[in-house]
Amino acid sequence: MLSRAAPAAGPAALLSLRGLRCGYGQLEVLHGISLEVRRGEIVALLGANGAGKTTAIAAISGLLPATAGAISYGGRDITGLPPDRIVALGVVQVPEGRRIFPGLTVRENLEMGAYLTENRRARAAGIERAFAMFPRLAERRDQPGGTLSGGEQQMLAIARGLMSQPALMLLDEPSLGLAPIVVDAVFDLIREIRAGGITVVLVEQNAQRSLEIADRGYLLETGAMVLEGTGAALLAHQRVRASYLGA
Amino acid sequence: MFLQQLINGLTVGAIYSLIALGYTMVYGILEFINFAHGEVYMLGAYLGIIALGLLTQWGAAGWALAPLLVILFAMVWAAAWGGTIERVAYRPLRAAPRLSPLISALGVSIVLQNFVMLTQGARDQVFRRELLFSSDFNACGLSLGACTVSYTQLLIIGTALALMAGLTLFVDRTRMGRAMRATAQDQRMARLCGVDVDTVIRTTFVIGSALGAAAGVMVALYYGVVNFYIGYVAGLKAFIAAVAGGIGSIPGAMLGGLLLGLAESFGAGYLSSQYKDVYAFVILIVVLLVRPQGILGNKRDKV
Repeated sequence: MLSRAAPAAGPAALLSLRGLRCGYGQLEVLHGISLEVRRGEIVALLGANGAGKTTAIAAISGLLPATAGAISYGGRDITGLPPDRIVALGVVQVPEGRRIFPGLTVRENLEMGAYLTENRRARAAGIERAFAMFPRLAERRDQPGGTLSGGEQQMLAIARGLMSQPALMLLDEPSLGLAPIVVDAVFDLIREIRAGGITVVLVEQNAQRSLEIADRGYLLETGAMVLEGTGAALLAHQRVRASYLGA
Repeated sequence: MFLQQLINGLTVGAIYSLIALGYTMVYGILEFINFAHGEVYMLGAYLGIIALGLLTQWGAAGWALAPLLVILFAMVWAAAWGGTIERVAYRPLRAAPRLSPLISALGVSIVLQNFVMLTQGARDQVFRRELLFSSDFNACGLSLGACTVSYTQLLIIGTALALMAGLTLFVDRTRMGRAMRATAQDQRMARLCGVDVDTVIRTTFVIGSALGAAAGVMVALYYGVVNFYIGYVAGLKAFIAAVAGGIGSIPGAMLGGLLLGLAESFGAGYLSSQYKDVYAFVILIVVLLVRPQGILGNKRDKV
């Protein structure tokens, strides 16, 4: 129900970064990182503040040009495509800080998630699905997005991301700043999203929780990939435990 | 006298509102003051004269729908100008320091003024409204006791209100309008939703220019005379209206324009018409002292 037909079969990797370099002006943030995400996986991308996690997914979404390396998705090279084309291909980003349009109503925020769906009726049907999935948002459908609580905004941000029926969802810090009980709900929701057939890349500060639900994970430090492994292996790894799990 | 000034003020104010919308919409999305916008309004006035000339040549000027055709011609042609100006003078500077597009706008302004002066002449041009309407229409109107609302005024106020209502519907209800509001609030997130921001920006310039041109035709119709430098003062005043109403806010621009028109009209009627151009600045100063973000301005909710 959540996913569109996956892109034409190719190699097992749905998304891959090869030697990706990018940054802001003279400042290079990513010094040639590589990463692979297979269809149906949850892949956690871990790292300290400033390691380049957000930069990496900005590059995947086409917000930031790569200075070297390549990004491919579903077997095709998407390096340098503008963000709207990447969304159209089925890659959606739920950015850090939720970025709800504050002056748009809940309903209009969801409409924006389906912006590329030209058919009005299809958009309306998508909104009804979202309201069925998030009854809380249905109650607040005509309220400006800016008036929602942090947890509600995160739900809305994810619901908005699902509106385009993506094949791959990039989630940036979905649990940041939320109450523990809401954090639980968010991680449950991520599992549910994957169960619905959507591949997930999860950028998180909460290494423990994200590695628990991730199939695999990557550890990014100052713009370079330093570790890669299954969620369980990373959870047990000395370096991860020392730096991110406080053990 | 009071009612008469009210009607006169509403007429001029509606025109200011239409121009102010172009400033406020562009600012809402780009946080940039398009100082060439007054010249697009001036172009609109000339385009109205050209359209009237064409219709006269085809013997269609007396046709009932002729005024509509004149205004449509000016709006469409000016919209093309607006889109072109954005493409040529502003888009290449999107990543440049904030001052650069402002200077580019001043350049566009000078180019347009001189272009019109060279092609249309430096002397006043007459908008021959008698070709469009019967002399009855031009001279008469509705009598409301001591005051008269001329048909021309009714036409201007009615058309302006219709255009503003149309714009409000467009921005509130359509997919593109929603994308414009989303882009104004969070451009990066709009792009992540799949919005092609270049298209949104172009649409904003196109709509703003069309509204400005409609205002130009109305002024030509109202005063009967235009010249190549009317864009400067009108543009400045409409900019003041947009700032007083709250720059970035569409209802604010509408309100600011009406307020400005009324202030000028009442000021001219009750105080002195010699200081007509001063009232706009007085209003601006008072509003900015009391409410720096403008009457309907809000740091968050733009467009």
